[in-house]
Amino acid sequence: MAVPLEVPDSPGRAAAGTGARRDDHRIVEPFFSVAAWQAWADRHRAAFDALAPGTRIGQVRRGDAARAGGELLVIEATEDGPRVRLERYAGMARCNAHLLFVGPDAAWRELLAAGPGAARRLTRERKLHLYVMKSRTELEAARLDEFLDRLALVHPKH
Amino acid sequence: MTQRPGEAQLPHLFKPGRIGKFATRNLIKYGACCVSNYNGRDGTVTPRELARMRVIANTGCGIITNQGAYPDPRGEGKAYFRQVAIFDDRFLPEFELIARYIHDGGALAIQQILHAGRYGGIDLGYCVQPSVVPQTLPHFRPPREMTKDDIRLCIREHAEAARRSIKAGFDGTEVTSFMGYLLANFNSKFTNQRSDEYGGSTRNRGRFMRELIDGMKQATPDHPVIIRLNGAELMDNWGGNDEDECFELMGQAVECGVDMISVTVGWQEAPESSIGRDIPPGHWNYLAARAKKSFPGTLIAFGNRLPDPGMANDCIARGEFDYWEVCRPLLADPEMVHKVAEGRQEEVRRCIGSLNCLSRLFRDLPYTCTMNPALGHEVEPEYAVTPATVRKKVMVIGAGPAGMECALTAAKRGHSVTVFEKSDRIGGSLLGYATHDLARPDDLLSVIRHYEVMARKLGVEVRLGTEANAKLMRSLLHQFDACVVAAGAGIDLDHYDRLEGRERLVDALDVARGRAQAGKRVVVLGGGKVGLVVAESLRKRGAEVAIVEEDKRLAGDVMPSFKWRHSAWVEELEIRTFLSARATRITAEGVHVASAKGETFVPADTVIAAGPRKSNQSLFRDFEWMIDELHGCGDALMPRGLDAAIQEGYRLGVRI
Ligand SMILES: Cc1cc2nc3c(=O)[nH]c(=O)nc-3n(C[C@H](O)[C@H](O)[C@H](O)COP(=O)(O)OP(=O)(O)OC[C@H]3O[C@@H](n4cnc5c(N)ncnc54)[C@H](O)[C@@H]3O)c2cc1C
Ligand SMILES: Cc1cc2nc3c(=O)[nH]c(=O)nc-3n(C[C@H](O)[C@H](O)[C@H](O)COP(=O)(O)O)c2cc1C
Ligand code: SF4
Repeated sequence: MAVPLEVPDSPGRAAAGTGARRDDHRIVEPFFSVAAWQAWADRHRAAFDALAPGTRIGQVRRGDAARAGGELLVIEATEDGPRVRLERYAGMARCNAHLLFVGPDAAWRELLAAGPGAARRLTRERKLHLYVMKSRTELEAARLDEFLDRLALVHPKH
Repeated sequence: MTQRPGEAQLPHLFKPGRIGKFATRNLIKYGACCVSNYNGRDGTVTPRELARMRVIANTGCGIITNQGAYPDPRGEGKAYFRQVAIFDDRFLPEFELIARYIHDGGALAIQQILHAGRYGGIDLGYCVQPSVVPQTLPHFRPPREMTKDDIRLCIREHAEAARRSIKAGFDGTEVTSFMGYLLANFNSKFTNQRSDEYGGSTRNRGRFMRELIDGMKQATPDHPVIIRLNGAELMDNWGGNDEDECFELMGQAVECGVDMISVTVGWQEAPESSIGRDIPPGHWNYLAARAKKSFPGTLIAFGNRLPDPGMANDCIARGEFDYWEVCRPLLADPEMVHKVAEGRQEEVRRCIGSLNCLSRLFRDLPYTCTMNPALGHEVEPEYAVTPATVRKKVMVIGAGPAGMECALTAAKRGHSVTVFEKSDRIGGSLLGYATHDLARPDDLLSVIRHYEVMARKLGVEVRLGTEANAKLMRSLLHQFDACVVAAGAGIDLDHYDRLEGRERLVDALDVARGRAQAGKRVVVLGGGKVGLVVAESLRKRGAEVAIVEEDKRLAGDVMPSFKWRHSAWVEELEIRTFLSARATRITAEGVHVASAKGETFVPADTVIAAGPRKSNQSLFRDFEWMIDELHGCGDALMPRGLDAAIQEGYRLGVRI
């Protein structure tokens, strides 16, 4: 099921998931298909079960991040497993998530086709950019520290 | 003063220089390499810091930069728990002492002002930046955007800090954008996304810097202002500045009449290395050369990952920069400049780029140095090399880093020292480590060369090819007063007792030392430091390699700032890894590996045991009733690493 969302178009908005290309600035089908990502999250539920309920991981397209507007796909850990929803993205300052991944459409397609494990490779290959939106204590409470540790993204590198 | 022999060999480095109205005795600048974490949580300087500063003051440099102090009472600029502060006159007395030490040591004193911006606010739970751009590492804090009032206040605080520094007796001040601090945040288009006059074009982004320089210059008109600016941010992938933009910003600093530009490289968040051992010395010199060429009328200081004085001398001769700005090499050996000046360069203890110093800072610990065990303990007489009250005959078993460190330190104190080493070389496990290290073997080998040189110089006898055992000890009865067991550790083969086919295992240390050859298809059991180094090296030499690790991740025993390098190498080299897994059976064809995912067969012609290590401790029992004093150090006490071996060898050497 694709959730219609009022967002301005961004260049290269090609069909992905179940989204369809539109050239106007009104109702468009979103790039991130909630149904497809929910099915993906359910398939890989174990990866999200390790997180504390309420932990939110956001995903934003590179173009949307650049102009601080567009879609924010949120995967939230709940007692009943991961819940996927689509929200409006209005820039980093107003983004309610613990971690935010930003990437080009191709990276999102790749992640959807693979599993959450691929996030690690895509981040390392710098196809996905990861922003840390909360303090270390909040990340620990969300049980995200281990995930970040595995990404080797804990300390400065030099 | 008469010219010392080494000064004639490196005439450019030891030439007198000038910055503003101040003369310097040579062209060496001690880079601010001393956010030490030794100080009070409230920013006050401690006796530990003052003792360390006395050592720094006597390094023989022409200019000495004191560590970056944060300039604001709120602590937004504070990056490290125990960073010094300079936002109030109450901090003056200690700064006065530091300036005096530096002058007494014959150098020009520069105080650095460090507002950490994006990396600041360590006590606050937030940091301030030009725009809200969240962190890319969880180590730092969520950002708040600075208003124009905040910016004006911040500039005033920098100017006040500069005035205070001069009042304390410093000759000049420096402001740093090193590694992504506030100044870098304004300059970079990654973190500066403002739409007012402080953001947007490079000119606008540079406005904060220009106002800062103006403010500091107005506050201290007769004193030099130095600025540390990136030649490369290494943040391009995140939308940061490219090198051309970095140089445009340097141009703006020159316009403002800055007295010196110190060229640096990289941000703390940069995804690649800038000053680690994997970066070859001289790698970044081109940035300094470009700065000098672009701004011939401004002094350029440079030194990032340029540890060799000879190389620095040549760069100055070629006009690539004016001052060699050196940091870690002087942590590793505070006597370096004097040794070089006296023509004793071979005695210099090199910085090996281990990054233990910075690893510790980022763990909020006081910094220490792998190669210089006294660093950070200057205030403690127990760490000083003092003449021994009773001169003893000391035998050291094992010529690895722990044994050699102990032997040399004891010899410096007047003891007569003999080292017994069963192999034919000095170096112990470090030799195998160096041989297989992907980062830069020469740095590690330099440690061994240093031991060889110093053993000769200090008259330490090293008996190679001599295994110490009860029989040897009986033949030496009453010839020695003290024995130090520094026999290292071996792979604990008992760990594989229940592994079917264990007789096929090859010991990782034998492979590392070339005593055993690995084939073309290798499985390494153990993904700690020893296993990783061997696996990466064999893969690099063309073998197919897999690692089986019982823990849920690799590199568990590797220091923080090297873990990511191993992860990157393992990925780049396409080494197959099995985590939370163990070998269940070894056959002539390969290894059966079991994990939660089930059992996998991995074809292999060589299976290397690199799992837990076990200390070689039998000599402690054997010698207990044969010698007056019996001590131990290094891996012989507990298998750890190079750092612990060196520190412990030294600590035993100063007290035996
Ligand atoms: C492949 C490899 C990779 C490594 N990677 C890292 C790393 O990444 N980071 C890190 O910090 N460390 C690493 N290490 C470990 C590091 O080299 C050791 O921790 C360090 O060398 C320990 O120093 P030591 O002096 O205590 O013991 P050793 O260096 O082991 O020296 C002990 C010496 O004692 C001699 N000896 C033993 N018994 C006798 C006897 N009875 N009589 C005479 N001589 C004897 C041995 O021949 C040896 O020369 C690595 C080691 C290896 C082999
Ligand atoms: C322990 C440590 C502390 C440092 N503190 C500062 C600092 O306070 N301000 C600064 O601008 N740079 C600081 N630096 C960076 C150094 O001045 C220098 O630029 C860097 O280490 C690279 O030079 P090198 O290869 O000679 O070490 C520090 C580096 C280290 C290792
Ligand atoms: S700890 Fe390592 S990198 Fe730091 S100064 Fe010492 S040898 Fe160099």
